[in-house]
Amino acid sequence: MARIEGVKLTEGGATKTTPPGPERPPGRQSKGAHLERLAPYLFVLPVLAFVGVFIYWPLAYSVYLSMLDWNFVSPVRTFVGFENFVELAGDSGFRQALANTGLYLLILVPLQIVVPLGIALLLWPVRHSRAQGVYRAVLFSPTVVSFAVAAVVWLWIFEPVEGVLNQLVLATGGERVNWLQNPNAALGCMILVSFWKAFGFNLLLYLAALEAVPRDYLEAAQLDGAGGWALFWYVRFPLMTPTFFFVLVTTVIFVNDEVFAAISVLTEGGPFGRTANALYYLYERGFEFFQVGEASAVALIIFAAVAALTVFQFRFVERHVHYE
Amino acid sequence: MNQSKTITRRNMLKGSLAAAGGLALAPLVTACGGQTEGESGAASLGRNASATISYMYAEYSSAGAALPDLIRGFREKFPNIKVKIRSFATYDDVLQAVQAAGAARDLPALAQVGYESVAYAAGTLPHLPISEAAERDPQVSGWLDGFPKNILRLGQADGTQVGMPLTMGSPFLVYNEDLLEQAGIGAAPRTWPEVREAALGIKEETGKVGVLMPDSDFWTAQGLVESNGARVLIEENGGARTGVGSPESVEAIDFWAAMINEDESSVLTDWVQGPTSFAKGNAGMIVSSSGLITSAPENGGVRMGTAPFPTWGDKPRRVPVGGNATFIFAQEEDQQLAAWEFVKYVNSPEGLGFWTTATGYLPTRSELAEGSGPIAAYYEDNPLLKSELDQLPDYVPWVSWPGSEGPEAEQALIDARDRVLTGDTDAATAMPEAAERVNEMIGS
Repeated sequence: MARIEGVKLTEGGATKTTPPGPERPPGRQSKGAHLERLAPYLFVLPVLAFVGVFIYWPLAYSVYLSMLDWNFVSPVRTFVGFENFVELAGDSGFRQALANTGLYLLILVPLQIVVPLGIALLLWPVRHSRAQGVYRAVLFSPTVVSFAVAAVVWLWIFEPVEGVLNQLVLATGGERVNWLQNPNAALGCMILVSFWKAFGFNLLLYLAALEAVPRDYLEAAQLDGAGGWALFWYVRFPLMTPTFFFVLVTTVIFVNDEVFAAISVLTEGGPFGRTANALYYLYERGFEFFQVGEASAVALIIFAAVAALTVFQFRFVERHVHYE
Repeated sequence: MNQSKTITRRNMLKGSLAAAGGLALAPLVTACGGQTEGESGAASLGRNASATISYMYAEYSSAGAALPDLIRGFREKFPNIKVKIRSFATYDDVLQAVQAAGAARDLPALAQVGYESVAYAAGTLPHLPISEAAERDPQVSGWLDGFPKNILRLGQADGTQVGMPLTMGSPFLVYNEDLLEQAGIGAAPRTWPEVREAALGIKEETGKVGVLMPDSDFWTAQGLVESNGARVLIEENGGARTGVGSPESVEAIDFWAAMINEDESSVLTDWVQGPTSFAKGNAGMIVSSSGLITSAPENGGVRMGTAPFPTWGDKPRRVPVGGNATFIFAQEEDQQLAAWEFVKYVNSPEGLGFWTTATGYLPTRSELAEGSGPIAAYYEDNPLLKSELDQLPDYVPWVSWPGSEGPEAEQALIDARDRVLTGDTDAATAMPEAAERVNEMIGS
């Protein structure tokens, strides 16, 4: 039964007055009220602490490190202000890494968005077949295979003397190619390996999105004479736009990470920096050359670029997403 | 940037150090988990004192397999000293791990530092120089005097013995006898022009690759350019500069590039794929190290012959020594003492004898392998290793760049070399440019 101080409502609607509680000085509230006000903050405190320690603190510390000349170990840390950023601007290696990053984005993002969608549409008609589980497992398996293991296989494929790829080339009358030492071929290899590793995840997302399209809409459209492309473009795709947007945002964010894995195991950024992206350049500066300041400066530049891209996507792309 | 990663740096490591005669273990003094005072008043670790030390090392094929047995032998002498080992693929990886551990104030007690990084490690990481550890030990007066000075130099920085050379190897020529016969080549090439001619012949007669020269770092390249008269690192007047931009260096790198891009009798490869391709019989010759010889039975059993590293006519051969020096990074005194005991054991006749025969590494004193030396029989049974042993007098230090930008300096040379070898540019453009960058980095 509801209780209002001073009044108690009974089931029959009759009221009964209850004596009011002890008088409190004006402005003072009960402990319960304090706790009630604090409760939301207490609930989010663990998550805030986690995010603060593992995300925002490293970010703030990176800003500090980016203004130092330091190697992680020396007791001497020299403050250099923005000199690391200035040096990066004049560093041809960094400019090459940025150019490579742009290339990877321009090529891999469309590939990772469009090709899995096409494969999902091809698999859709056979989704009830007995083999559909096999298809999905085979196509998703690269995503779950460890890159270290996959690298051994890819190195064998790209091996310059008698690797699988060169054997095919030689058998068709071509000339041997040093896949990982030729600058253009090496870049293509990084794109191929990164795409192979990651497309399965987007494929699964698209399959789930296709599954989520209400049958009523499809049937209604079919009754109106829609078929094939019209069904996809006017019914399925608009309802898949939330998934499409998610795939777009996450692909742009993570494509750098995916390529980094391929670079670090297959080429280490070579030949002469022609496959390194900004993330690999950061790793090399920080963990191979121990130039903490420069590495932190690169990290901040990458952070700003990815943040800008993400904001752009939310402002200009999300307006085309249909959430209902 | 380096070539493919699986093993980016494969220095040939053969090392067995013959300890100076008279190395004896410290006298056994019962102690309760700590150090005791020896007769002279200096500290030494008692036999029953206990400690746990960590050891970071690079797992190059046979080295990785042999180390646990080496440690077992050590623990028979010092049962209460535990050695925890951590393996890494390359010396670069070890150095990175040590530096990261240093940042976390958790340095390992011991680590293998590649000879090319000795100066960098000595100038960057807190360590106990070997010379100081030896001075503190009253039981082994003059311990370092028993080792050849040119070998000790491999572990020195600014004249101080900072690390103890453990493993040694150099590049030499390994050839497939069958492919040379098929190509009508009667004798192994001895000079670089002969190598080029033989490589072309092998390619034309057999269809196989003529010669492979794996070089994920600048090790083989150093041998090539310095044997032609160039000097990768020139230390003079208290400073240092590089000579890779010299005409001799340009000529050597251009020669290498011609074999790849003009003759197409060679392929640029790394220390994993190169030896594998050779061991499968897909190449006539390879510039490699003794690791290929010792692992050959596992790789298909190609009929191999060996010859010393080729020369440029009458110019003297100069081959860089690959391998590692053991550094003591321990900061606590009992850890330092335990680590020092391990260093002494490894460099004792017992330790070195085992290390050489288990790994195929070169002894740091050639007399051990000659006459009635303790490992002479080993070399009699493995004649393929003699070519490498014969060039011991031609050893020069693998360049260890001074200053804090050593790794970057080496990377600049690797990138320049790769630009030439892939046909991106010529050596006359790339090498002087690289020399200028390197000189800036090393503070020339």
